[in-house]
Amino acid sequence: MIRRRTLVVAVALAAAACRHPQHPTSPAGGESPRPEAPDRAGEKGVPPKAGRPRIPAGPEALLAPGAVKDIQGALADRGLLGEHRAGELDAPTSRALRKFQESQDLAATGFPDRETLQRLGVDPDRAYGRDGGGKGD
Amino acid sequence: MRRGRKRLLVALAILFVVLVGARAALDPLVTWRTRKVLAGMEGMRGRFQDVEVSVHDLSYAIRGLRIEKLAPGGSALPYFQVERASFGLYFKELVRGHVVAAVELEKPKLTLVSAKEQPRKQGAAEAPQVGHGIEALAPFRLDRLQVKDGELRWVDEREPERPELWVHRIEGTLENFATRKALAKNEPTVLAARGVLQRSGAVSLFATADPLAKKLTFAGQGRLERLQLVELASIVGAKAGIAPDKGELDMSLRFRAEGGKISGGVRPILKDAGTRPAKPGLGPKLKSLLADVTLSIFKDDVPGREAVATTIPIQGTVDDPEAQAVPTILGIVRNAFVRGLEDGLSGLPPPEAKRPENVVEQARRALSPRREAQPRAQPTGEK
Repeated sequence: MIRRRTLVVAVALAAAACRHPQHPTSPAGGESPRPEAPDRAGEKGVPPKAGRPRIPAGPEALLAPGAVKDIQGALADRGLLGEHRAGELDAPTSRALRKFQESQDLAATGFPDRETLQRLGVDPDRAYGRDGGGKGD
Repeated sequence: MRRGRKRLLVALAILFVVLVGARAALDPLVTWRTRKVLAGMEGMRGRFQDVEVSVHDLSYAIRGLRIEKLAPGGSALPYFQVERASFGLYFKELVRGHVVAAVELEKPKLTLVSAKEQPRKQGAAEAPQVGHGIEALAPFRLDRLQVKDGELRWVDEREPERPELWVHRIEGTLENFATRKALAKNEPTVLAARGVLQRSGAVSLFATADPLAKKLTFAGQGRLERLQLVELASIVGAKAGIAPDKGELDMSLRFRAEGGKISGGVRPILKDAGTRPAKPGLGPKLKSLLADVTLSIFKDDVPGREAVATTIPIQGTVDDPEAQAVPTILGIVRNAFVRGLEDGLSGLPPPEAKRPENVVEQARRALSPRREAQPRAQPTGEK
């Protein structure tokens, strides 16, 4: 019994010792952590197999290289996109897509689905990599 | 000559009358058929305001549809309702011999109730052969399903408090769902959705799938932001005896399923969290105290942030994804350093250990100061 109590105290002390001042790179203060760019390796999802479609885990992995730039260009032309990270489906781009989708009476997901791409004047087959990728390659 | 022209005119007039009559009869006929289908649903009853059929663009729409589940006592529980649901076929594709459809749901509401019976546990070997099931359907492709302003309510009737999870303002699309490989054009089915969890949590979800694969194959990611923890009080309190009374939750999720096995990770980040006992008695009070002490020990020391983060590996069969206890707990210890705050999605899903690791090995990884040394998902029994 005493031995068990000693063990519990030791574990609690060890855990408390783990607590020390942090110097993280993310924003301090009351701010929320910055929504980060997802890691590309994890975005790839299920590795492609012969005769089966690719199954990416993230939207950027589904789109052809350069397609996001095309989408951002189309959104900027309509005055919907301000400051953003070029070539990345970042929060401002997603917000601009939602605004555009709302204006078109489409589901406002913030994701560039085929119907949204078509109405933006971006070829969906090209953007989804079925036709050699976007212009921004 | 004149007689021939007269006959032609009469024939055209008859054809016109028949077409006008058929068109006029179409709506009542389809309304009757819809009523019949709804009346034939076992254990449910349905009603609607009206239906409309358009021959011009090959579409069918139903307004004010409401389907209720009939409880044993005779009472009716809401199950599904939609302000307007429309279904249309693409004429151009039909001419080519392909049945390609689009569906739009406006303000759909789905209520799911978890009843008291236990769900059947299913092993990996029993993972459903979805591909074969779908191929048994008639060849068609759902080009696009669109949901606008949807709502999903989940009620847990297994608990006396009947806690609820509520996702609303759902905007979603599902594209390219086909029952034949040729119709799918070697492209995945893509799901994208966004909504609000409880009152404050912004939820987004993206997933792709190969519905024609022999066993469930999909991948995706999701994110929850700024959920006020107090809104989870009823659901957490019912399960744990303690309930959050302050704080905010952000969560990142990434998942992948291949051959019926699911893997992935969840990274919750609790900010300024605190708890209170949800039930009377000494037990819940002690639990609440312990939870507050734990949160206090493992929070970071950045002034004003007060955050606790962890990485929860998910591993198991598609039908029974289970969050593993040991890596989860050690993940909390490791994230006393709150590395997770700076990279919500990077490192997800957590890597899987090549061989089963004992608790000491898992602890070593979890407590290692090296950034890449996060706890690993433990391989399950089968190889």
